[in-house]
Amino acid sequence: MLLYLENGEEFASGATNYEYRPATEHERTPRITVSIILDNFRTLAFVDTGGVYGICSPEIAASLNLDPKDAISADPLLWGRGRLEGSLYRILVTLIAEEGESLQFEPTFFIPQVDQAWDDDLSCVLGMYSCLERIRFAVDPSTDTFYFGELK
Amino acid sequence: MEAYTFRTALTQNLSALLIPRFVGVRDAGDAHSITSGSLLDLPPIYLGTSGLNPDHLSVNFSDLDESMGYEVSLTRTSPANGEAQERVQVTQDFENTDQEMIQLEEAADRGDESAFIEVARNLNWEERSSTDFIRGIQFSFNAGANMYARRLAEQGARQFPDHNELRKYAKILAPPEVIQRNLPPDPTLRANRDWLKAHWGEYRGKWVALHNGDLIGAEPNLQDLKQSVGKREGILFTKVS
Repeated sequence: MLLYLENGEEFASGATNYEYRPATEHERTPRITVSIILDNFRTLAFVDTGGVYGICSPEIAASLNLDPKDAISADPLLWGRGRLEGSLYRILVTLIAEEGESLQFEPTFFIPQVDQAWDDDLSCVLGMYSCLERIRFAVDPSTDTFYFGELK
Repeated sequence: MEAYTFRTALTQNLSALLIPRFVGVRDAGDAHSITSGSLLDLPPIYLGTSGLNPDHLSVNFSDLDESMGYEVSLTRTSPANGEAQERVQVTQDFENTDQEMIQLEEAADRGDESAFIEVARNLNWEERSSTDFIRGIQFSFNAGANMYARRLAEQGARQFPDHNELRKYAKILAPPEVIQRNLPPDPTLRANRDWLKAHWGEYRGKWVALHNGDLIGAEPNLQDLKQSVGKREGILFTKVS
């Protein structure tokens, strides 16, 4: 069952179960993990509401059809784990629904340079600012359900 | 007469020789040297050495690139015989910039987002060049002021609508946009999730390829895995961490 506001307006047009586990071998705190399609690459991504941009590992980025001419460099970018050099791109992301509709949107993604000290276990992250900021979402921990929809 | 403001981005020693706000005045008719009163602006550490009179200092400028920086050499001459005793050459990274941009850069280098935003808000961006906007955006990234980066990109693109680079910055840093919302669901996600739960420990550290809850392949790196799997639709690739 999807979610609606009191006035009948749809809050979430899609829903999926999420995994709740640490993002990397070194972490202990579990995070919400959902299935996405990044460009044409299907993978899992961690939701990080304290993060900025989407971030994907250089290894995944090599599988995408990215043209450096479409990027701007960020040298460096300050984020939660320190400073990293890399590039910012707009990349199509699809949040895959198990119920309702899947949702495709275009956020800003940061791709660290290959030689940066990137934790390669952290393959893909959906941050809040510039990524999920225009998506409505809600979590039901009792069923591990992640609801999402377009913010109109 | 042309006035230049220099700052060093190199070493502490050079910073001591040329204070950040040192202003040199270059006479158009004598493009490569000055011995003006503005040398009094040199820092005490320099003037204090050997008790030299500032009149015996000279600063030479030779332009490398008007927009990118300068090659600067300092010559200290002996009051007695006028011969050069010491010469310090600075060959790169002196930027023709201003104090406000310097403060902005310094706040960014410290990762001090609050100080960065305070300086940035006091800048009159309406009088700034397209280059300043791009530098300001880059400093914003370094400061962690990502919201400010978007704001600068938007304003820069408005002020310089024909500037392709600023338009690209504005496009990439714009708020995310929903492209399509009526895409079909995928009921096979559960099968892949169940497989991962059941086999997590066995494949830790490897990339795996799954399809409808079946393992298609597993390799230490993604590129090898993609090669072994080939091009197939609907495959989930993930690292088991």
